Amino acid sequence: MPLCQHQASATLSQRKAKALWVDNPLCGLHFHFIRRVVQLKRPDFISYRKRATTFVVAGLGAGAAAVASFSAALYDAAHPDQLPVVAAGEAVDTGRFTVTLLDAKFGKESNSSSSTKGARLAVEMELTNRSAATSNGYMHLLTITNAPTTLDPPSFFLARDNAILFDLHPNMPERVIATWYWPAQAAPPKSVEFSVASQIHKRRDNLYGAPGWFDRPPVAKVVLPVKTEAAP
Amino acid sequence: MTALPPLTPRDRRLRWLSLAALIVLLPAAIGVRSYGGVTGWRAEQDLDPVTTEPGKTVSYGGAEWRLEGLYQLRQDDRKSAIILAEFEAKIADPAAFAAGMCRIKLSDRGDKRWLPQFLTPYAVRKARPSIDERVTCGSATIKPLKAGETVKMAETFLAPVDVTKFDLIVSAANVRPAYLVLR
Amino acid sequence: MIRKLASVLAIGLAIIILYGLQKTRPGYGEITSPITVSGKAGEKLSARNFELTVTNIRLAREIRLTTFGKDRLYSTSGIWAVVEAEAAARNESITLTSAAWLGPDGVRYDSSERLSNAPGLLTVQRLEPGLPSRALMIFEFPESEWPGGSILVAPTPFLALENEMHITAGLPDNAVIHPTLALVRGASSADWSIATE
Repeated sequence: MPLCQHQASATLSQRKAKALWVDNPLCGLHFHFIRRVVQLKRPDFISYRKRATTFVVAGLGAGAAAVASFSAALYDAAHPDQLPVVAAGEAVDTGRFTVTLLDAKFGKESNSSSSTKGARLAVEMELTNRSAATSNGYMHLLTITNAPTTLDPPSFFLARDNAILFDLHPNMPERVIATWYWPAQAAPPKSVEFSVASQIHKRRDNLYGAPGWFDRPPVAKVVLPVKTEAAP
Repeated sequence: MTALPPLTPRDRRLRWLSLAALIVLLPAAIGVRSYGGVTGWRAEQDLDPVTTEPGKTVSYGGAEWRLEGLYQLRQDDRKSAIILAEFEAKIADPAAFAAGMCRIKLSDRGDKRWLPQFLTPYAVRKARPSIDERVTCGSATIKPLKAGETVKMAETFLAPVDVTKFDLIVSAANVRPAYLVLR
Repeated sequence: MIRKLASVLAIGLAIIILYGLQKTRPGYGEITSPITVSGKAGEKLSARNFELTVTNIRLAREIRLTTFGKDRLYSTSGIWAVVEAEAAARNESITLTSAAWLGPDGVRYDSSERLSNAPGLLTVQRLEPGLPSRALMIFEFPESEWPGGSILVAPTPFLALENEMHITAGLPDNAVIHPTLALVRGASSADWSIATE
């Protein structure tokens, strides 16, 4: 603990005590005692006015920072980035998968591999897993933004087998058909708008420091015209 | 230029005491934090056996257990056999019995354990039709039971044909690490 | 003067040591990573709960699966690897639900779920202690991933300090990729035959 000059002077000579002087604000409390003992070279306490100005300046600075970040957040929310529109047949890089939407069909007859009869929207796409491990994280990449009601999540079929798709393996592009079951009371769609979500990979996440894939905002918008198939 | 005051003997003693306290406090902190995890792990292990004599009942986990019989049905490949274990439990405390969620294993009185088959094989049901009246221990804990009721249970296992001496191990979640060895 | 230099050196050394410690700190993924048991195909490998020997590895462009009298042809944009193995549980009944092919560049291909009717699949077979059994693992991956590949077998896919077997496939450089492999299911699910067409 640095000594005040009067404490130092108790044990050492006055000249040595002055050499060991430290600017300790608490020493000001003993101002009355040392004033008579040594010649002060500089003021030993900060005036109240100076303290007040310091507080006000610091407060204004912090307030300005808070206001700036809040207004930047408000501005971002009020002016969202427009999603880039991607044409059908062009590849969209979503981070973990590359999606190329090809065409959309709407029909009433049942698929050979689906068990329910009813109106369904079948969208054919090419999906490639670009990560380093087998994954089934493609299921929530596509959202229909102009659906008349909330739709159930789609089922995915592998066109090669005409059977349910489970996992996609890295670097193996596959033709995949995503099927949404369309509610009977809703009108058949003429064109469908998709919002394509994205994911990023973090080597160390914020909770455990473990590697993982995390959802990020949508990265593209695709509009597909719908071909209506006649019921047999 | 700063200068620190010289250390008094009192300061020196405080410094050594602080270091010594660290040697005690660090293991204590580790112990306190891991106590819950260690007791949880212990509750999953079967560590303390309660052995019965053949044919006798023993009280465990809210019921009185008895092994009625162990039967072997050899398979066509002559290397494996289906072991059928029939046992019964007389419920003393239905709530404790249901909370036990019994885990049944077959032991060869050494370190090998066989888990029960999910479905009773057809060959067993054909050879011993009375097995249809028995339930597996897992389904017995789901049914509502009354105190004093005797539940007849059976489990099937697939084991090598050359092992003939078996014990049935019953392990209830609320009484673990104590487990029951029926013989 | 010497004292100042010594203190500067000490601070510099402390910075270097701390920087090294920070950069080499293992992440959560490495701390909870599986304990590896390594070996080659053909060797009997023992992990804590199971034993496995890879007996045969075949590569093919298509698999024709015959089960219950029905034929089905499975194609792929890469190639198939059909791995036959002998597996046994050591102390307790166990199912090895995770089998994967690790390519030479570290890309991991989980075993294929497309051939769900295939006989003897390792990932759905319950192994009993004392009863070794034949098992099948089927992988599909791009053609560039077979040289220098390995097979990873573990009881669970979400591993935390469990044993994982790392079996180097050891395929020769001139390994043949058959055009079609016929996998025929026999009388029971543990019985099958593989023929090249």
